[in-house]
Amino acid sequence: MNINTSLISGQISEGLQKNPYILVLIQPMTPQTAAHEPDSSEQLYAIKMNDETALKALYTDNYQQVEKYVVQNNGSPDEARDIYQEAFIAVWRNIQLNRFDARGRSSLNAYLCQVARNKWLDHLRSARYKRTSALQNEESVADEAPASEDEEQKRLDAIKINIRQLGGLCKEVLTRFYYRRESLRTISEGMNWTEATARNNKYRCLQKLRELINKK
Amino acid sequence: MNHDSPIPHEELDAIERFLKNEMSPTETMAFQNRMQADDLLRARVSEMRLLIIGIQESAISERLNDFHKGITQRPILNMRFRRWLVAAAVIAVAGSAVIYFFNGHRSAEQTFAAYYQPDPGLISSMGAADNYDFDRAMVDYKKGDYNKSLNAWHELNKRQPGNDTLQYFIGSAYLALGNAKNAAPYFREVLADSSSAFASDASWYLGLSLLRLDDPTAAIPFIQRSVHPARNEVLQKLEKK
Repeated sequence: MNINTSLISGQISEGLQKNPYILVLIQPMTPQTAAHEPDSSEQLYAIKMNDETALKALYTDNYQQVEKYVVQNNGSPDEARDIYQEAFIAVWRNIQLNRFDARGRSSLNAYLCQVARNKWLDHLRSARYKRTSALQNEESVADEAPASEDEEQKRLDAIKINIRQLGGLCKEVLTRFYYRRESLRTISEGMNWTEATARNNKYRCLQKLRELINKK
Repeated sequence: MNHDSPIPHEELDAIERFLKNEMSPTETMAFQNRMQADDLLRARVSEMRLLIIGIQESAISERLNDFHKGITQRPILNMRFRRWLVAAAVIAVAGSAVIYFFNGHRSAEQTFAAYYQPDPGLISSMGAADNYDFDRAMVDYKKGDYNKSLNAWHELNKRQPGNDTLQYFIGSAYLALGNAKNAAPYFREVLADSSSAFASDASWYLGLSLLRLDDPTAAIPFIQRSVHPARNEVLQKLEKK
């Protein structure tokens, strides 16, 4: 198999020469230049508010780049979609937790692509791809999650699992209030309740969720 | 301190307002002071922070597949598919080469099929005792019972090696069975003796055997040496390459 070393950094080509069983040819990701550059602080705020238009735009603007990268690096379109959605959630989460510093980064688009790329590289490095040991030399963008964030991730996963057990009504109330950020008034109108009922139901659903999680 | 205990409704409201930055600066500072002093409050704020994000994350995860539907699908020629296409192209080219190759050579076999007729055999005279075995086998040969005649003639050949009649008809029987490979050496044996009465016929049938074996180049000289009525036609066909 011919390996085009001109596409790969010096460290990797060294590794490739040592290891004749490389199955992966790493193609670089070309940075996406968006057709429009929205004011990043506005975009950031919209995403923080879970504005559907902003979320959808962020999603559709960057998917093709990531799919192309994954597919050129031993992946399938299905794998690309999964990795991209993981990356998208991770980026969204960092924005919610105020961890995304807009000033230090080129753009949200580039950040999303970067996270996706790192996730794909992590996937390739995993146990299933033991033979591609040369990838250990590959420089990855410093996005290593500290231990506390892993703990956080576990708790978030537990929350997500337990939400599914909540039941349709609670799920809807909590989604409307916390995700769509609807006011209690809007919710009460939508669910045909009084505002007081809406408030009480929201409280009860939240307690129920806490109980489910803390039950373990 | 029971971190699992239900959070009072009022406190929950306060925590949510704090987390959503809906408190005034003084309120915020007061709340932060309370948190510093109160472990339980701090724990609850931390818990709620994660809980709220978890609820949102659960909701957004369900939206992603809807977002994905908005991706206009461009056919991606991925590496595996590309390799498959290359392989398919290689096979197609190789395949057509093989077909071309076989077409060229099938004409040799087609020529054989068009011009081969088994030797009719000798008129047997069952009378003479010393030729009885040979004649008996010839009867079988004429009936089309080639294997039976071969068995008998092989036996005779062991006892009377170098008999061109035997060798010629052993070859003929083999060729009649479609076994050109076994027939050819017997015809060559016959041709080793140029004075043989069977030389011309052996040459013809050796030529045909070689066509059957897909070797028209080797067949041509033998066809040329024969005097078969179809000789020229066959040569014309073979020399058309």
